[in-house]
Amino acid sequence: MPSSKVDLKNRWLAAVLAFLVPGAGHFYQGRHFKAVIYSIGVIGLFAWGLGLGECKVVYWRWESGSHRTFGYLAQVLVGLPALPAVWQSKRYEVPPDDNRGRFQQRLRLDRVPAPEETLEASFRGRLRLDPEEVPIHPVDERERAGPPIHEVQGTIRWQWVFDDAVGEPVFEGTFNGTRKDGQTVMLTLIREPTVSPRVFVHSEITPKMLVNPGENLPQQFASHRRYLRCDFREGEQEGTIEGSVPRRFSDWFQVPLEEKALRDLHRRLGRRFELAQVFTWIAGLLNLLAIWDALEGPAYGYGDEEEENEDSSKPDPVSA
Amino acid sequence: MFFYSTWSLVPLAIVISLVYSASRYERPSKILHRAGRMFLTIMIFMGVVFVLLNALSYWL
Repeated sequence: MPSSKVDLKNRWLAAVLAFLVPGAGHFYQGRHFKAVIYSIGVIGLFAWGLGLGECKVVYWRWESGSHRTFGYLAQVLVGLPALPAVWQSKRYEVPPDDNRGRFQQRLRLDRVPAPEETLEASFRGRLRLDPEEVPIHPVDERERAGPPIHEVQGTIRWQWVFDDAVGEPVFEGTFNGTRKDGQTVMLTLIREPTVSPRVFVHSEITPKMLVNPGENLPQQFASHRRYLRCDFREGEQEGTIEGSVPRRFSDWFQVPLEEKALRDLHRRLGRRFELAQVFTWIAGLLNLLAIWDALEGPAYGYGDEEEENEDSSKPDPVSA
Repeated sequence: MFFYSTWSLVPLAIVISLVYSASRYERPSKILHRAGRMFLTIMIFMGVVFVLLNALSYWL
């Protein structure tokens, strides 16, 4: 039963607001002190957990017989900060070869760039001049006698431009950056880069992944970086760069983790991963209390009942 | 990581105490008073459990 001492206004609206944004329902009701406690406490705890788990602990996956994220049922009570996971789950379930319509294509996580679209991204990886078919791998025995491999980072840019003389789109691309030793690198790309849906769960590119570029590695859509490899020309020489480019925030945030990605994350974060999960669960469960408070008012009353009882228990001086 | 997870209990207990007390009462002074008491209770309880488990695992 709602508290008579507290003006809950439209309590159902307040409850919905409290669910969507912790504290918003109480702001609407004019209960500012509690609104501050709820918003800072719940959102702060949720953000802390999210940060600890590198934004990978909140996602929705419900597959029969295998991976089920029961914890999300608690996390979703935080409202808007956890709701993107539902949308990302829908995107994740779209088959990669499903081209039935524009909507399906937009949903796809491994989106193919449109023709004439200029792509520009910060690149981090390695380069080697005069490549053979062997991949770049610094500890590979075959590589030790070959040309040196350099760590590079910079900006990669490419596009398809329609050439009237040829009558078809022509590829143009550049890479501008610096080597680890400080030397400037300016390269002309001679072929369109391979930007595979093979992405990594974290920014570190392990040699194991680079050693077999052709192998069919499991996709890791929750990664914030994507694998890229392309050939270039620098003066008279040709070479290969291989590394990763960032993905858009909306393409990896709260995207379901595959089994391998989950194992990688567990191995890398250790107990921090569990701690991050627990923080986000607790944040959601605490917001349930806030939602109920917005709907029904304080559970034990206004808080001055004891004083009132003390006052009423005292003998009335007039009647005495 | 051990110290991080142990000391993260303090802000966690503060948030739980404040949010729980805020959902029980309306008056700010009452909320803060009850939250303070709850925080102390949690910390003492967890402290006792910590010492007990530490003592039991001393000879392991």
